[in-house]
Amino acid sequence: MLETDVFRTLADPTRRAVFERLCRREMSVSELKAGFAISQPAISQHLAALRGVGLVCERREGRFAYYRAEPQALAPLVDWVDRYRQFWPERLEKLKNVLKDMEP
Amino acid sequence: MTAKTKENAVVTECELREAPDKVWKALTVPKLLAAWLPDAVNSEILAAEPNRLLRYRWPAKEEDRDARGQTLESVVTFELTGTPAGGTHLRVVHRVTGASNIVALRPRRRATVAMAGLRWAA
Repeated sequence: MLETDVFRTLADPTRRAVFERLCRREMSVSELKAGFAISQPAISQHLAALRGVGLVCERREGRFAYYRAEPQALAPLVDWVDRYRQFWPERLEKLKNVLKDMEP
Repeated sequence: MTAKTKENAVVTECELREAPDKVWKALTVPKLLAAWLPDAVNSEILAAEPNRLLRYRWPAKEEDRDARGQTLESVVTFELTGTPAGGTHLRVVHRVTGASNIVALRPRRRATVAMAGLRWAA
């Protein structure tokens, strides 16, 4: 099964660094490689994983390929997380009041 | 009390003065549950270990949708641990289960994503 989990995809520090560099501008694999101490096949593997979850986009120009980040692919999840990070502490405060009012 | 982000989950923890059996009641007696978490009344229970663990399918709200309008499925787990003082340490883990759905798509709107707000799983 393909790993399509965006959080897990970004859990790898090198992959996250690749994604963050591509957030700044579009790059070819060789340009990307210049900033990392890993092989080109390894970079390509990270790019494939990022493309697999929609976080990176490829553009072909002749025999060259360029990559750019699609950070908006994270937006629905970020919104969800923000919403429930606020929701749960509020609800647990209410729970504390319910517990106080309960009979022993 | 703060909620943290871990993998696909929002994790909130708190200390309660009351013992696990009392907290369990507040989680499972519909009338008590309705007083603080009405969303969960009537939702599907996926796992239950009295006084220890309760897991149910979270009924998604209208806004819990991805850019294609598909519902973001999620599951909530309550973990109760008794403390030496006789209280309860409560851990609430709210996890997105259908995360693959939300990333394989192009959101309609272009949102600015604050990466700093998220804590990635190590």
